[in-house]
Amino acid sequence: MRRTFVLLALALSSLSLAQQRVTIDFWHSMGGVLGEATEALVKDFNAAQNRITVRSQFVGSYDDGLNKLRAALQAGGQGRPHVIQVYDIGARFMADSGAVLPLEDLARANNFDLSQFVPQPRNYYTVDGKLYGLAFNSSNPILYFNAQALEQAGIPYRNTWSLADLEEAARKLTIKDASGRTTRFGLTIPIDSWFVEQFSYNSGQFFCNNENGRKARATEVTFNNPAAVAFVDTWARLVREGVAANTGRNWADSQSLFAQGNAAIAIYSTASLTGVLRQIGGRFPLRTAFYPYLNERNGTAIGGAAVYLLRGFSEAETQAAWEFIRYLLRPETQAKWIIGTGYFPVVKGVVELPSVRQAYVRQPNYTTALRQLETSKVNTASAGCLMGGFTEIRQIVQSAIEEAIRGKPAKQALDEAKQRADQVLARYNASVRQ
Amino acid sequence: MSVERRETPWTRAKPQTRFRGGEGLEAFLLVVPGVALMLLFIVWPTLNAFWLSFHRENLLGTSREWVGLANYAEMFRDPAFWRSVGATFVFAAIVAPVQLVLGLVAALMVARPFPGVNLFRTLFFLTTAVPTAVAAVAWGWFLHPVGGTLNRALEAIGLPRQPWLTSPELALPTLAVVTAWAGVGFTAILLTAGLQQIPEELYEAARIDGAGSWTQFWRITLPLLSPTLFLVALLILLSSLTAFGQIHLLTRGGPMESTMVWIYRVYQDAFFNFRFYYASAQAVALFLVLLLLAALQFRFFGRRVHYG
Repeated sequence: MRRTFVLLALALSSLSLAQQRVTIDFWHSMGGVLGEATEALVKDFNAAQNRITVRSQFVGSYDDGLNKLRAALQAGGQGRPHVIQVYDIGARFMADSGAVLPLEDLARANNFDLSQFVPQPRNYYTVDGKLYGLAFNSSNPILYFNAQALEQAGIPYRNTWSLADLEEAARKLTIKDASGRTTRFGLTIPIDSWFVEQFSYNSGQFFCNNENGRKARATEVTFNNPAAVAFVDTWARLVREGVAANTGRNWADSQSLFAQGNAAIAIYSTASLTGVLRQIGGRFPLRTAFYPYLNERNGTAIGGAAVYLLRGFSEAETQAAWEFIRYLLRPETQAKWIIGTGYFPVVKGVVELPSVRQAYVRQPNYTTALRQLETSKVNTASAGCLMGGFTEIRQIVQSAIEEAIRGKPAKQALDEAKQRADQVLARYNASVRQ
Repeated sequence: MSVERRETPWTRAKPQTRFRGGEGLEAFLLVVPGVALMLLFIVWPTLNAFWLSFHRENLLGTSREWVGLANYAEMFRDPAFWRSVGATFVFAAIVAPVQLVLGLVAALMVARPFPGVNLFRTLFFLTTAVPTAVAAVAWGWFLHPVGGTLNRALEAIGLPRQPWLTSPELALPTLAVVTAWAGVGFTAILLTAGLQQIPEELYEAARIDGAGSWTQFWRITLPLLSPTLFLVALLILLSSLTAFGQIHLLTRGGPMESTMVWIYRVYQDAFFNFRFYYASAQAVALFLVLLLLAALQFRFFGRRVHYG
């Protein structure tokens, strides 16, 4: 009898403990090295206090995560997480879903000063005038140079490149044998719509109408703008002439080519830096530079992903989720995160921290993305295109690049792709109104 | 009388019924978990897809509107859909013969025992035992447009590099061969079993009559193997129409949608484009085609097969 009583008391006390401790679910899509870094942040947060437990779960790719979220929302919200990481191009969808508690509302309620944010990441995730998500892992595209090849060809290193300059350098860096076969390519770019998007932004052009969907909901794509056409045309021509390598849509196939010294210039994300450096090993010194532009450099938009808080949880749980977000925004947390990953900070005052400064001195290539961000103009072009159906539209753009590589004029390929993409966008917008 | 009549069957049947009943109940209980899982994870989603294909959904799928056959009408007008259907059948038309011939060659090599036969049987089966993901990654290296093993080998003998997976002409045939390769082991095992059922006396008799090995193959092996060959061909056809993993890992439907086969379009429309209703219509159509193919095969080819 006494034992039963003791057990009962124990059970009750543990129950009340559990009630005090709030558990929140966090879904993320960071695998490999990035996943370890994410889990480390969660672990630190859980260890640093005893009121909140964050239960993190790796939910596969960004698309997998979004599918799981959609399924949960379809089932009336059952099993949805408190916090979820969703990729950049999911911003319109997240706002349209009606399931998100805008970060701006929480920040205002908790007297968090929004001006602490770096402007571009804040602009990117601002939908219809309101900040929705916290840019968690932010990146931008940069140029990768084989510095040894550059030196041998007598091309001086610069950190800004126009498309014409880049083409000239790529030609000089290409080596062909007697039979005309390329033994070293001047340039390699994975076939990815993201590079066309970023080239548009960096040349001051829009990827979709209504100023990248920032003034009003985008209703048409504008990826047949002069900058995008010039970029795809140059890219396709260089592939056909054996100056640029076509390694398909798989980034890894392009990266192995570059890392083995078989291509002298490459275009990837800043988030690829750690992996590329590891692959190069000691083969050659690497230099990185700003993303190219057509006539005048405007600025790139951010890529990567944001974390969103979902609405409809109890006051205590929402507050706990906000505490977790606050923790992620602390300069010390940001420092730990960017040193481990190569992403850049989204709040001010991180770069000045000694640990970050030391890391940047050790590997100056990591500062390229950050300096690119700092020197980018802040406008609707560099805010990035905000629209629905982006995943499908990217596929269409990628097919257009492939058509151009096969010889279809770039303008025609992109014009035709626009017709298809506009239908996708119209269908998306209609599905939101329903 | 009536009492007796009632009693007799009862008492006589009792032990038998109880025995049968017990066995039946046992069998039923053994089958229940499997059937329940099938109902839950195969039959129910299938019915659901049928139902969904007559609807349109909003963004989150929280509201549905009955649209009748509108999704099917859209599908029939959609050039992208027809391109994917075309790609699917070209794909199957390459996979089936390649896998059947390679599988038959492998089976003929290892059907009769010889020293070390198990080693070869194991080697052939390895292609099937390797998980699709692992095989696809290995093939990705092997087929790399510049530094891949295959292209290096071509260059070594003075031939130009080929864009195996990066050109719209080559990508689909290349994927078909990769798919056939992966299935060779399974095909070989089925065909080996078939070969081993052919009585040895037939070959002895043929040899006594002076038939060469070529004649033996055409007159004995092939006709008597035909039921197995038919079964295997059907299995290859059905599996190649639903090949997914290697496409997902190697080309994702590109370049220029040349490898966007039917099932991959269904996947894209559902899980990337969030048009589950339209994907369902396409999936239902694919389901009907597979059903029709299976029925046709059994009906027309099934009879001609030599069942020894």
